[in-house]
Amino acid sequence: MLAATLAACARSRPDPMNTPVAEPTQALREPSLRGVVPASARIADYRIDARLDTERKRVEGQVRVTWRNRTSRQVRRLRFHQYMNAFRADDTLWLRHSGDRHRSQVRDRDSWGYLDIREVHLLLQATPSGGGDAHIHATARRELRWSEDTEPSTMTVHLPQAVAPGQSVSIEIDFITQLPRVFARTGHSRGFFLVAHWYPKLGVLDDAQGWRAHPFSYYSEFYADFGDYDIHLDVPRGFKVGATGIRIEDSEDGDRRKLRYHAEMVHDFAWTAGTELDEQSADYNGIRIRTLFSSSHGDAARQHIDTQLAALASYEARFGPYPWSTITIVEPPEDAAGAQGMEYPTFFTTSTGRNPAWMPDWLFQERITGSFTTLHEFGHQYFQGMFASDEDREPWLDEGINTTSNVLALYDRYGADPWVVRLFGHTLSVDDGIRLAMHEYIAPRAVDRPASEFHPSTRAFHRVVYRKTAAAMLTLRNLVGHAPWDRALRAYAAQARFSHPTGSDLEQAFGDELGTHPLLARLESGEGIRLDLEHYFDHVLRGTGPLNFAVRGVDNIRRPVGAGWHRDAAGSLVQTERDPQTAGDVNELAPEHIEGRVVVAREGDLEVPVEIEFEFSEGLNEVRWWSGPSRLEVFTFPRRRVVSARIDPDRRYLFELRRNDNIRYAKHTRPPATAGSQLHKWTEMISLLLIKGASL
Amino acid sequence: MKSLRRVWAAPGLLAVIWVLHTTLGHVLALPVRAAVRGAHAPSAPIEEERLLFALLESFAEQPAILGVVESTLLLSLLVAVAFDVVLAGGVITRLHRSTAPMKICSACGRWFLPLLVQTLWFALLRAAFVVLAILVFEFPPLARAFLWLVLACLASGTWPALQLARCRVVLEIGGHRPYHVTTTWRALRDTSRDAVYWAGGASLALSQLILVAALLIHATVEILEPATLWITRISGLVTWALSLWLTALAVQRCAEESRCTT
Repeated sequence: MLAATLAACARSRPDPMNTPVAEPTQALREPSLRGVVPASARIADYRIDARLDTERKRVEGQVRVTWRNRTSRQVRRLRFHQYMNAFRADDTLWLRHSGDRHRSQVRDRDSWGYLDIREVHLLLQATPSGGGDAHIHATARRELRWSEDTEPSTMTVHLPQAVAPGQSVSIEIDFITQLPRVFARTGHSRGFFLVAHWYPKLGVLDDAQGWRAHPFSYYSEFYADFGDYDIHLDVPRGFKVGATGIRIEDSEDGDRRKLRYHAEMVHDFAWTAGTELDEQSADYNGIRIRTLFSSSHGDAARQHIDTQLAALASYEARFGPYPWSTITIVEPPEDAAGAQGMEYPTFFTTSTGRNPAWMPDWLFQERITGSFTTLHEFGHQYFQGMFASDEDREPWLDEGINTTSNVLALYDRYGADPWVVRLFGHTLSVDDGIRLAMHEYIAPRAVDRPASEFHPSTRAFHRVVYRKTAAAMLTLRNLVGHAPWDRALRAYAAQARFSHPTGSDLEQAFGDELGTHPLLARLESGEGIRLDLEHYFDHVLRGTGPLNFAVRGVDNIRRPVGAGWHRDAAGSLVQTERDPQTAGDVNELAPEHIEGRVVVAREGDLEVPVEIEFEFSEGLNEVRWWSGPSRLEVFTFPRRRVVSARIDPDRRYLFELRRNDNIRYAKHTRPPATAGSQLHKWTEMISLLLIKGASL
Repeated sequence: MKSLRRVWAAPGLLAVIWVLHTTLGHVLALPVRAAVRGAHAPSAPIEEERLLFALLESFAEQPAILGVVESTLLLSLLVAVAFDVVLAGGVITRLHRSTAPMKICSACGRWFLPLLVQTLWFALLRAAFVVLAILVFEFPPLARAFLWLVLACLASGTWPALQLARCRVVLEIGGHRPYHVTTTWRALRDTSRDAVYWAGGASLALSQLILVAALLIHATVEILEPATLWITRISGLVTWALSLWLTALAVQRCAEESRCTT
């Protein structure tokens, strides 16, 4: 009886995570919630019919692309990406760079992926009339000439007549996409399919520079125009499917399942299908959050949803409304781990957390896999998905600024500078995690460089593009103040929505908000400590030099008291005896007989102001700003005994080579615990315990 | 309790072992101190208890320090085995109520090789238990837990059995062959037939393991506390007392065996 009552109570309390949220009926959120979605940004619409052949691991499809010429150019050719051809042969740019490895995944050398274009036809070429309807110039279905580039991840379709400004053109392409075994981003593995980079996709026509369709290199990702996608999928019955956009039709036909997806104002479409996928869902203010995951990862799915909910709250507050009505999170199974951690519009793949369930929290916890991947890939829904910057030309603008935004989201969720690793109660904070990356330059390279200039062998891309950018941006935030910096990034985000922003736009937004020389502090004398913003951006984005501050010496010397031989008025040398009170050991003298000296140094060409905190023997502290071109400075303190000096006491600089040399104690002063002394102590203790433990 | 009396009767033995152990730990860690002194970065104070950051930055600056720490810990493991085997002959001799220092010292050298071989036989057996425990991973959770419990119970017998085999070798009881695996086998067989001895020995071994694990966690969690090192050192007295008690248990059993056979 009691058991039945308890069971009934349990049933009567629905678990919000396990209560399915209905499929949205509109691809965009309702107008009051979606924010600005400019109709003028809609340039390339796609309708795709695709059939998944699970036996041959391929997709047979037909895509109809309607492209609007919103430039002032006459266009006689269309440039397409054929991303999947990156995996077609071992001499493609992508595979040459990868060395058959990607994020610790090794490629199955007999598994290839390619996009085989069968036919290309012109459907129509039209000019919008005054009422907005198309006036058709050419209606006859006509085969078009097309050519693949030497690097097969791009191709050109030649049009019989130019598409004039304001005109549109529709073409139809029949294709077959062979999926590789998953090792990087896309492919198949044991009944799981992650279908991305799979159809011919238009590049972006720039009024000034012409077509931008870049060869698919190891680090380059997207650059494409926005449009509406109408996708008809045909998959085997029993497969669970997740995709960009919303599902508007779902039916079964014999042993096949037919689905139709619709997405608006997106620049790509990816989907997944699998037989071993479970799902959970949640709602955030009109956004359906859906997770697809391996059956044994239910707990992780909850973490992903929790992270997603927190991320939406942070990003909407900081960077404006999320416009779409859905977001799908896929956690690929372990044997398809190469597909983990990748973003597509309203759809992304995350990773499995590395924190084992059996590990007690007091022993080890981390926030750098699993839920952090969810946060990072969701961040791309803004920093690329919605803004659509050129990831090939300026990868820092999405990866680096996105990493910055991820840190801000962690602040919003957990408080200032929260831990990301906790080991035996000792924590590593998110800021310190970024600081550590400043050590690791194998090949110093400027942040603001194209993706294709980073070779995976140097392992510099993540450190430079992701973390150095984040370190530079967060340092700037700490220097100029959180509120004005946040306003500047918010202004950039508002301007960047659906507009292909550039790095210059970001710098301009900061310049507009902060001014050219933002005030960092005002001294008692009235003098202002200012930062040269242009110099800062030039150095951190386009320079390769490091920045490092160091305390080179802290010393206390006997202050001159006039003892010794001096000439008197008559010109004779006269000896002045030393006051006995000043004659003892310098370490024993009273402060009035001492002069404290501190030597600080700056490495690198970046001239930035920094605070230095001096601690004196009387228990007093003093903070001074140090700025200017000098690389070495001596601070003197007559009648004061300096105990220690600490550069950047508030830890504003994340963009610094090393932190351990920022603090130093005076000679003959016993400093508190040092890393070295603790390491020695720990080693002795562990040795003692190992000797005892192993003797059992 | 007769076995505990044997330990109480030899306070000097406990003191000597503790001093040797503490000194050995200190000496083994000296290369780390030297490596740290030679490097600039680790001499900076840890800011706001950011120990992990300070260490990671030091390792990034001076990767050799990490290598020295790893070597030291590996060396500690090797020294542990040697320390244990070298002392065992002397410890057993002393707990068998022999007080002559020369006899105790010579027992350390005389029985080193036979005791090393016996220790290796038991090490092989324990390795087999570890392999079985890994294989059990494939079982469903409930079966896995049950099988692990069974394996743990069986493995717990190896501690008193090892001490029994060592004592029989050192005290030359019953014509046991010092190097032969049959000595190992007989010790295991006799331990399995004596539930009281098995339970007593296993409890003492388990107590030591728990204490060492707790100290290891304490040492790592409370590393910034100045007293942690001395807590670890002084706790060595307790763990070695337990260790001596376990050996004394085997010595007592051998003494009773010897009386029975004579």
